[in-house]
Amino acid sequence: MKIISCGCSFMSIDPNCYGTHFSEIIASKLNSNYACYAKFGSTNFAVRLQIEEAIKQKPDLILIGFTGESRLDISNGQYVIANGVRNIEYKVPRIPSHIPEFYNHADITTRSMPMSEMSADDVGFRYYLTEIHDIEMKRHHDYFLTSAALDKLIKLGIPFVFTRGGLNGLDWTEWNQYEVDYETACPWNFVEPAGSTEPGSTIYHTTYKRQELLSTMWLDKIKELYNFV
Amino acid sequence: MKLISCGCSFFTLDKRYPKTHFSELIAQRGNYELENYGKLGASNFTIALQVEHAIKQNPDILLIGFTSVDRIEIPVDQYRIPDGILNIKYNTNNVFPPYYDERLTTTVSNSFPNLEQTDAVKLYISDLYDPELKRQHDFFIAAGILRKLDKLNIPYVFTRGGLTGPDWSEWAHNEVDYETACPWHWTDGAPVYHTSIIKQQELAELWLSKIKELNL
Repeated sequence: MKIISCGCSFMSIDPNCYGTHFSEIIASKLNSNYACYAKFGSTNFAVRLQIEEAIKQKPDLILIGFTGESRLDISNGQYVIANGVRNIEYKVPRIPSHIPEFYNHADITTRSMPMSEMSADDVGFRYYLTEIHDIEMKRHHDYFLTSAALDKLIKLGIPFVFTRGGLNGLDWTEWNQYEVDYETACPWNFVEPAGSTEPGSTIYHTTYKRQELLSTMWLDKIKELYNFV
Repeated sequence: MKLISCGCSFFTLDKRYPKTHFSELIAQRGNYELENYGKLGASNFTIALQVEHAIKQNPDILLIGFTSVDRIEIPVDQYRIPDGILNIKYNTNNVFPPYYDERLTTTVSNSFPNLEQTDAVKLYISDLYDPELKRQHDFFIAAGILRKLDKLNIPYVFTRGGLTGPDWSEWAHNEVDYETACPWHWTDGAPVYHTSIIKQQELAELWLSKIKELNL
């Protein structure tokens, strides 16, 4: 059995404490092969590319966490459609990042990152932010990208469980049966300790104890949906 | 029976040439009530918003044409998600869709050459825009809207239009022949839809054949 997780930092595994993220705990409990495609700072476009790559691997289950809309994909090379998620840089300065097996530095064309980490000295970005970016319109773009991914998985009959994560404020009822409870099982609601540089912090922003609780709730949803568990 | 068409200029009516666009000819031939949502310079995001609005109208058939990747949306006021297509300005059209109210609009959707060439637009194109990344983004949106129509069992016929390159084979059944029936290949006319009146009659025949083939 093969499980793949997709998302931003909240779905990422931490190289400093392998085995502690809820997706790893679930894979262990289900005695499954596991691959993490999640990336610190991902946009929803990058998460969508992760899902497309996951689909090609014919997984038995995909765990998905969408992210906030305040993120951008910035080219630093010419994007190549055929390369999909291999366009995306997974190495983040000062952040210990898990690198998925498909990563090849020669293919990287695009940085996918939170706007808060972009340089205010970048004139193009500053103009974009003040004159072209509209947060609600970006949210709508991201909603099209993410909800279409869920429809594709349903059409292909690929099992998945997801959380809207940082992409809230939209109507997810159409996919309600596949979503873990937002209040209790969305990791975005349990950031502790606050700040990624504090002692005890993890790349996935929550405590080990919380990850254990999340694994139980996500596993309950998996059991509710799929009889292979 | 209600026919709704969605797209960019190639799907836009021109009041100077009434009843000449292929969507109008199809409506006339099939005795459909036509609602045309085409907009000059529409981006693929805007076309997705048109289709979302069309879905709410319970159409009997949808005609869709996607567009090229060199188009973006520029806010002029705060975008409102629940308003969908009502956010988009149609002020360069000379025919307007039934839902259009200029007072509700928040957003310009147009091609790069037709946008006001502000420093922001110029810097966006030179520093942040990657046409292939945008093509992937637009394809995700366009493919998503077709899957939604499939899921809802809403009949439609479409052309990839200007959104060439990606793999459309999943929807080959619903697409008119790209070489002969995509209006982007026949830019030879003065109307806002870019093709001659004669070509529109030929396109109407080709699109009608597809509609009949699908038993719509």
